[in-house]
Amino acid sequence: MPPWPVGQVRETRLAQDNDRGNDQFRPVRRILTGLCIAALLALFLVWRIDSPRVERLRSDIVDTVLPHMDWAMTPVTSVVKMSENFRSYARIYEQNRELRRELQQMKAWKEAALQLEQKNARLLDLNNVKLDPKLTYVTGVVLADSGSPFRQSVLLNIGRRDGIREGWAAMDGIGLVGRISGVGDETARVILLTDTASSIPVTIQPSGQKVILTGDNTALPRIDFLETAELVRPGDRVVSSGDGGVFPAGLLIGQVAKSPDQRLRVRLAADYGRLEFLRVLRYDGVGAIDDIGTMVRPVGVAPVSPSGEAGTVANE
Amino acid sequence: MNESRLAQRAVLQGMFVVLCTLFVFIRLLPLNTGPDPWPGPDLMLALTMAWAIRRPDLVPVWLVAPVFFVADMLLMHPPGLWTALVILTVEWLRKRQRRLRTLSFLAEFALVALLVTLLVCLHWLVLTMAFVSQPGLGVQLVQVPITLAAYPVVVLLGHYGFGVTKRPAPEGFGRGAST
Repeated sequence: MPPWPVGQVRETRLAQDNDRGNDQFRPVRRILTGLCIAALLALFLVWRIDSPRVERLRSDIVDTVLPHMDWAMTPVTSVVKMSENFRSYARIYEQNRELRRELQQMKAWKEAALQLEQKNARLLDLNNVKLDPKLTYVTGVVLADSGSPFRQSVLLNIGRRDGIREGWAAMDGIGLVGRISGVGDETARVILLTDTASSIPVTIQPSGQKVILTGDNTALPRIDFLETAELVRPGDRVVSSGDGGVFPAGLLIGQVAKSPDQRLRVRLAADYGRLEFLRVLRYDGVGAIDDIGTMVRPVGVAPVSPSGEAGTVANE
Repeated sequence: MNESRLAQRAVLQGMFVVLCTLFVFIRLLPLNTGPDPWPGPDLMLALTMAWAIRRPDLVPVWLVAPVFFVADMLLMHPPGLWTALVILTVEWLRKRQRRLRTLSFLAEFALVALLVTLLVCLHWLVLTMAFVSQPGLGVQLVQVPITLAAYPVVVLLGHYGFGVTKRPAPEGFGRGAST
């Protein structure tokens, strides 16, 4: 019990402040607070045990909250970006000259590329090669950043409504950016390749080695499970390998680079500094071959149902 | 507790929500989508602690819980855990508010530093025990001094911007007499 006369103090207290709530409500408050904390911890446990359900709740919350923030976000973002651009106006003359020079080089490359394309088409025609069907895509605008310094993801303004599905690949104009993870009605989250949760199978181009590209919260993701490091040089092209059926094969990811600690990493082709528009590729994996080959029999023999045939073979 | 003070309290509580929304909003802006070498300060935590020490009536549980929970959800944190830890801290501070009133700013700062470090460590410990993949403790602790650097700014903003100041300790409620 407090050492002061209770009645007097009580009045002072009520007059002074009401910080701790009225005395008669304090036990109730404490119980409610305890319940609240218990509920939150229970939710955490549920998330740990049955993560998809809670993640769905999360994407629902994001879906309801973020589109309402968009009206404020878009102008602020564009104003900041404009001011950044404005700074670069200062050296516009220099930039212009640089661009002209680059354009000249590009024209030469374009010529070379066209010739190669024609040649390639001719050769493919000669070989009668069946290429992958063309991938179609949905383009979305980046709504928001992940906000957390330890998570690398962005939110797009397209979602289930636009037919987006879990696991599809997202690219900017040039390279792979990440994969869809979490789809709301109007929003979808893209886990970037730099996130620690991202590891994807890739191929290093000239040597054809298959490795795993693992994000580790730095700008350059790590190359893991490399078999012969001698065959890989900085500057080699890295493309998705299509293993596991998550991504289509052959998407450009970046170039091999060596970090100061002599680790092999990948410099990403996509411009991660400013992601604005992302293409989400519609890709549901290669269709699996689900029937076993049936026996080749001479023409005219009565066909037997494949299941029956398989049964007889097994019995013999 | 008269009408005008009640209204003022409601306004300041509203201000808490607005400021927290603003902080989340700033972090969500897609300005730099690449990984940052330096994490930004956890302004929401700094604000909540500063106000919980000064005016606990402005950060009641029914306000802190939903605000932090929605932030957890939007910022891709493991849901609920951080919110629960923050509520625990706020309640801990609320319980000791009479003693905190007489604290100098330096002592308060040290207390906040201790609490934030403890919070991050506890958060890391629970996540580790639950086998959740997360960045290392060292990387997460880098954020602590950055948050602490922002703490005086948040306090000054509350002090001059919204008049959130420590109430003078009432007579007879000094250091010795407090519960």
